Amino acid sequence: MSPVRSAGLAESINATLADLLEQDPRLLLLGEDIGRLGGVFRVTRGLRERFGEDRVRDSLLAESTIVGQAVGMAMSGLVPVCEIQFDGFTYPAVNQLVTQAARIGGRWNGQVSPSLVVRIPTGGGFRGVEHHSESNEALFARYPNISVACPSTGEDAEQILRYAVTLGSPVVMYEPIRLYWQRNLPARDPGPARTPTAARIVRRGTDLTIATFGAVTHEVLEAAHALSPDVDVEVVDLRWVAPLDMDTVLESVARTGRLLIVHEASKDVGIGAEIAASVAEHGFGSLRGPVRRLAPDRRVYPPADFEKDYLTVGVQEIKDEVLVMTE
Amino acid sequence: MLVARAVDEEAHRLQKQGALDLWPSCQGQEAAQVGSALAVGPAPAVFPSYREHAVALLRGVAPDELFAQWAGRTFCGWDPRRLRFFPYTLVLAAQTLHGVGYSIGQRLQGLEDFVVVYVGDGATSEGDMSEAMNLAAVESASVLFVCQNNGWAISKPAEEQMRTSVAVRARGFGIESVRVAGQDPETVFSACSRAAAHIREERAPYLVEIQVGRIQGHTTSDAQEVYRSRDDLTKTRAADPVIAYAARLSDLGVVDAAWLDAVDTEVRELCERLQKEYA
Amino acid sequence: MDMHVPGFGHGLDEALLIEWAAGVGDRVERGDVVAVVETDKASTEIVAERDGRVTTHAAAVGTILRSGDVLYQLAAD
Repeated sequence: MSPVRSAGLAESINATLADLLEQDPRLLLLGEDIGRLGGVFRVTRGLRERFGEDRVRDSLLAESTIVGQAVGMAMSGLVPVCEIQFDGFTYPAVNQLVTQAARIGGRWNGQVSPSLVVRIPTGGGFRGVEHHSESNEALFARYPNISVACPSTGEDAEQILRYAVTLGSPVVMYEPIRLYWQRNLPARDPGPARTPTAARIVRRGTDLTIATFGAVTHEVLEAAHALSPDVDVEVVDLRWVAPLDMDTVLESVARTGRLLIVHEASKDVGIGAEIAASVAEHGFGSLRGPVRRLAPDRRVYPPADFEKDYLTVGVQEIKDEVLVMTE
Repeated sequence: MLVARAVDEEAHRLQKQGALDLWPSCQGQEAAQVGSALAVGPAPAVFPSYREHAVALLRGVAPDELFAQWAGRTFCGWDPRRLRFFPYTLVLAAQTLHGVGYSIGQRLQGLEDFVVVYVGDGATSEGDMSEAMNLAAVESASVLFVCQNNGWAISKPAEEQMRTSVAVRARGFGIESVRVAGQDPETVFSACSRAAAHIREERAPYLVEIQVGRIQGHTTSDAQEVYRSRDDLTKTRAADPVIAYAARLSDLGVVDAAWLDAVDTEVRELCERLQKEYA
Repeated sequence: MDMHVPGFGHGLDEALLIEWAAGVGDRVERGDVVAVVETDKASTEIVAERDGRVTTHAAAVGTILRSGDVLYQLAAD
């Protein structure tokens, strides 16, 4: 299947944020350099000019300040959509997200339902300097009351954002940096997701299921297309890693009998481990072989010259893995 | 102050009985809490730390509602929205950023933006406290920071926690501040009234540091005799603000024995109700 | 020799050619602006990587450039 040219992720998110700001006067954006500059990735380009500095707020360079004040703003009835500049700079905000944003709904006995969104550019493969290529979605996936989305297309990012600002509990959305301006993407089945939180089957197949999410979904699709017709791979784009749509994964595995999980974040205690465990618990009878994971080893994201060795989730590696599993 | 003291003492008794799991005492801080709470009045939202029991009672939190979270029944026993007394926050200084963000959010919506944030001396070492002061300063948020400095971060004495007072530190962020003794509620009331007037007029933050004594341990789980000298504890108890203020009002003839007896009766009934509920 | 469109960082590999700053026949020194382009992020300049004379433009103003494509040819001094 030939590649499809579509709007880049940055453009889709920009348009969605503009529309949300237009529709809901309670919504505001908060982040480092998102106003005057339009964000380091220009995702919020033009929004300050259009909606004013009160609603598109250039925050201080302090991530705890961003999320901490957003919690207070949510208590006052606003809907803050925060931007963290790079995945690796998320950590100073973790306390406010985990011990506060995720818990105030319960602590207030439901009197506050913070629809608080944190957008985080994520992932590597673009020769980023230290801390600029990380993938830490599994960290937040462990905490109750934080939903974690990992869209792989602008269309999904739009659906996720529209849902997130109404959810009433915090959502962290990971936006793959290398997709921000990528317009040529492998073709995928256009079928809609059942719900805003459901996974999406982006390629139908019969021999093996690959569950994946985020930027690497496109490598998986490319590999799947390349393997056809010898091996017919079904691709599940999870879209959310917390909560996980295990129903879609289990139904797919029931059809194909084989499961490979591919993700860019390191393998140990990762999203893949959770999926593999769930399938072992609830779908063991459908399996024709062991569940396998393809993900980088547990080590620090290396300097750019070595990232190709680290990111062991390229098209070739995915094809090789599928062939091992189906031989 | 007398009611807050009685409730605090009942909490200690109930904790010793195993009816409460933990209690962070406010004994020694009543004048600071009552004086500051009365000075700002009922309009501002209050972001407490976790031992602002006298403020809670003044805001209308019932004693049994106050105890509920310490008995493991809930994370917040009162109605924070109606009382504008927000839930206790146990992660130190996390609420300081919420308070500033709330004030900004209220202002953006044209609503009451005066906010009071309570914090202890220990929590001022947290990064969030510095971030909140800076944010409040640059946003010119209508936030009154009330720092009750009881001299101890559990076992770490204040002189080992900081090289300047918290009030001086606030000025470094561009926040007007004052440091007052916290033994007399009227002193605190005056200082906080001036602070509140400043916040209303300037629409800018202010910090009041109140020097208080800590009569009990950090919480009921703490053994402060291990790290505090007998002399220090004796002096702190001798400077008890509740006893001192009651004595002063008696001497001035503002209250008489009959009034004090009536309060005694009131708190006795209160404590009996608490025992019935929790013991 | 062939001079190529550079990478633009953060995975950006496309840019719109806005203007040629160095015409065919112009002599450039390393660091001189050769072309002005617009990426999805910002307007930016492509500069000469070495001294020489521009002999050919390989793209027209208004076209999309891709990193790695030949942009112009340079005759070394």
